[in-house]
Amino acid sequence: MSNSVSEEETETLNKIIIKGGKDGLLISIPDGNWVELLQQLSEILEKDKNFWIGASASVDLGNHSLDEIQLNRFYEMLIKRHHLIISAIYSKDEATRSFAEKLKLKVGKVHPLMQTQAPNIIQDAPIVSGVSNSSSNTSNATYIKQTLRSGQTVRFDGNVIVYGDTNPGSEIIASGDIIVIGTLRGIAHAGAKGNENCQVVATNLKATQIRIGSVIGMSSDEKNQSLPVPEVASVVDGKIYISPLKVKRTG
Amino acid sequence: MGARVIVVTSGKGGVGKTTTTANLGTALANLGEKVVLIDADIGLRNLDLIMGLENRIVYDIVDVVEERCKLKQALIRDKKLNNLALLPAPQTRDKSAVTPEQMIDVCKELENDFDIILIDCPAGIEQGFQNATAAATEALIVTNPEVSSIRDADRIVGLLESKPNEMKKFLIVNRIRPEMVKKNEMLNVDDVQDILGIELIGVVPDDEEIIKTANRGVLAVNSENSIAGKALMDIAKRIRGEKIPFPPLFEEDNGFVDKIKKWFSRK
Repeated sequence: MSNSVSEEETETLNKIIIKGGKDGLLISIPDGNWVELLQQLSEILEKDKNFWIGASASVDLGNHSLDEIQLNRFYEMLIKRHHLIISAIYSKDEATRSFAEKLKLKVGKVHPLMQTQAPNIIQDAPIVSGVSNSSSNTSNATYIKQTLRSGQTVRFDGNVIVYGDTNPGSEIIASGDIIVIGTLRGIAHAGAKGNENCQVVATNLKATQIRIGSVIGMSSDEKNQSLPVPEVASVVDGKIYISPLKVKRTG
Repeated sequence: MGARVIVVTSGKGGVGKTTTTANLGTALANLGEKVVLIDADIGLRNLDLIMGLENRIVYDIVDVVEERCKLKQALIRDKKLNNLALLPAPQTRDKSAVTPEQMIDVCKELENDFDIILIDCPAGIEQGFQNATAAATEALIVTNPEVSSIRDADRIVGLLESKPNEMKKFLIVNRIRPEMVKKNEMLNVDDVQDILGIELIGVVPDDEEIIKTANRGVLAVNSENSIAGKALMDIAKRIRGEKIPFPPLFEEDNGFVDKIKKWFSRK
């Protein structure tokens, strides 16, 4: 081990990548020391617990070849300690894939996202320059053009824009803002990593529940608003307030 | 050749899937189509009862996939219609007795002899649902005009949309009660469609005749005085591509008697 220290050092510089989308998360593990990477992943997941809990994820193990015990431990750690739901395991190693199959997981060689995209360059680099971002500290956004139906969840580290309705029983969890161009009837959780400056905007806001950061607001039971107007939900003095949407133009 | 494979599904139980399947199958056969009904509700079969064919079952779909009999041996001809058949489910066993792949194979084999394969899907979203929808290219989603049924139907539509194969989806609003809709005590068809957003193919009114006829082993579509039977017949025609207008759910009240009634019933 001692003679390959320099090599190992450069390799552990590779970061674990976690991407979100409407098909669930992708956890991509780079080459490097397995134990250290496990530690690193555990820390990431522990840090923003509320954001990750219950998320469905697939894991791309890349070049790692694990034995059955290692893989089972890894799997146990993800589902028991971090409460993730693992849907698929990707590995270039055949033996590793066969152990994953034993756990009744979907397996593959490389995750489709990892095949097509160069590692995350576009996502991490802000495209807009010279604009100060007041609420969320990220300019990542995902755009979903479909109706979100009961049981469907969008979980994204960034802002979420839905062009379509979100039906009761659906869920959007974003670390940034949530914008729905359509009727928002499901649950919306903005600022899921604790940012209470985030907002939920909808052209017709009828959400069953809105959460911003750790603040939870329930819909009022009275119905029958005449014409839907675009509204925005935000946190004021520790409570969620809903007001008509006014776009401020400054400068 | 290639038959149309249509699944009747709902998510929630007790909304009228099996009754709908039996009646639509019979109606389509009456219209001249060669129809086979598949009961995918393994372990909780009902379709044979509604069809009045229970006493004729010798083999079932699990016998077919486990190769204890030929597919043709398991098919039961309808009592009246020569061009209508049923592939029953076993009353023993459970949903895991059949896999989606086996279901696809069974449908492929049936495609040669029939025009329409109508699959009665069990309630729920587990294995039974996966089996029933595996081979289908069209889905009839049955819902009642009440929130829990709509919520489950929405989940079903979402699951069907996430399948790799393209599936046409049609909505049947079952057991609507015009007089309650009129008084704003029940969700109307527009409310249901507003949420689900899929094409409406039929509205079936709540009809005591359905229960009466079912217990006599007669189907509503074969009964002259069933309003539900008429609505189901219209759906069958629409499935065949005929343009049948939707009759109004209730007459607009402009008659004198209605005015009097309204005057008396006002608060």
